[in-house]
Amino acid sequence: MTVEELQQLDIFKELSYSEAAQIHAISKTSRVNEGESLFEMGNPAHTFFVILSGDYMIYFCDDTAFTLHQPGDITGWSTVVRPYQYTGTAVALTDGEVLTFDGSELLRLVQGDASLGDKIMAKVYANVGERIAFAQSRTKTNESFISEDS
Amino acid sequence: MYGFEAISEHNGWAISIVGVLIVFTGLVTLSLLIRVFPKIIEIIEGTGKPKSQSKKSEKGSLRPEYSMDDKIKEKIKQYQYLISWMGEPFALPRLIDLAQKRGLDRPHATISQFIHASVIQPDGKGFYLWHAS
Repeated sequence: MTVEELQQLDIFKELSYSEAAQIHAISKTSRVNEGESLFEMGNPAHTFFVILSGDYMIYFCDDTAFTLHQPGDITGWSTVVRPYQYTGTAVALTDGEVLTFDGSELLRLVQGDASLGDKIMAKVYANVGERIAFAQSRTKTNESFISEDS
Repeated sequence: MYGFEAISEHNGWAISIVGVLIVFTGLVTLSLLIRVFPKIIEIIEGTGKPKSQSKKSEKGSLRPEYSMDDKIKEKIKQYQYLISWMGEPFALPRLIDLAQKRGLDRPHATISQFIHASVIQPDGKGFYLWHAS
C-alpha cells in the first residue's frame, strides 16, 4: 500500500502527505484467512486494524455482534483508548486484508504530534460514539430480556 | 425322533421361514421409515415443499430479490433449519458455532454471503433476523 492509497481510507483522509507518511511507516499489510480471529475479548489491546478487504464480525460476551465490510472500517480501537483491553472478539468471515498498527507505536505518534493525533482521534471517537450507541441498544435489549424473564 | 425328521414333523421349516420373513419385513419397513424421516421433519418444521409453496403464494412480492445458485439454496435450507431451532432474533456467533458443530461447510463465508444477499439482516440491537422464508 502506498501513502496515497492510505490517504484514501476514511480514517486517514484528513492527514497531510507527511502525516500520512508517518502513519504509513508504522503500518503493515496482513492477509487474514476465513474464520481467523483478529483479536479476542479481554486480551490486552496491542494491535489496531484498518480493513482493506473482506468481511469481519465483532462480537461481545452477551452474544451481540455487528459486521464490518467496508474498506477503511476500523476495529481494535481499544489500542488507543483506556483501559487498553479488547472489549470484543473479531473474526474474519471471509479471506481478506487488513492494515495493522502496533498499539504503542500508534499511541506514540498520536500523543507526539497534536495535529495528527487530533485528526486520527476525531475519527476514532466518531467510531467509538457509534459503538456506544450500539452498546446502549444492546443494554436496552438485555434489560428487556431480563424484565421479560422476571 | 431327532434331527431333520423332528423339525419336519413339528412344522419347523415353515416356522423358520415365517420367522425370517417377519424379521426381513421389519428391517425393510424400518429402513423405509428412516429414508422418509427427513422429509417428514421438513414438512413439520415448515421447510418442506408443501409449506414453502403456500408461503410463497401468501407473501409473493415481499420476498427479497437476490440471485442464488442451487448450492446457496441448499445452504439456506440448512441454516433455516438451525435458525428455526434457535428462534429469532438470533445471535450471529451462536449460529456460526452451531453450524460448525453440525459440520456445515464454511459457516463464516456462508454467513457473509447471506448478509450480502440480505438473507440475514441486523435488528439494530446486535441480533439478527432471517429474511428468506
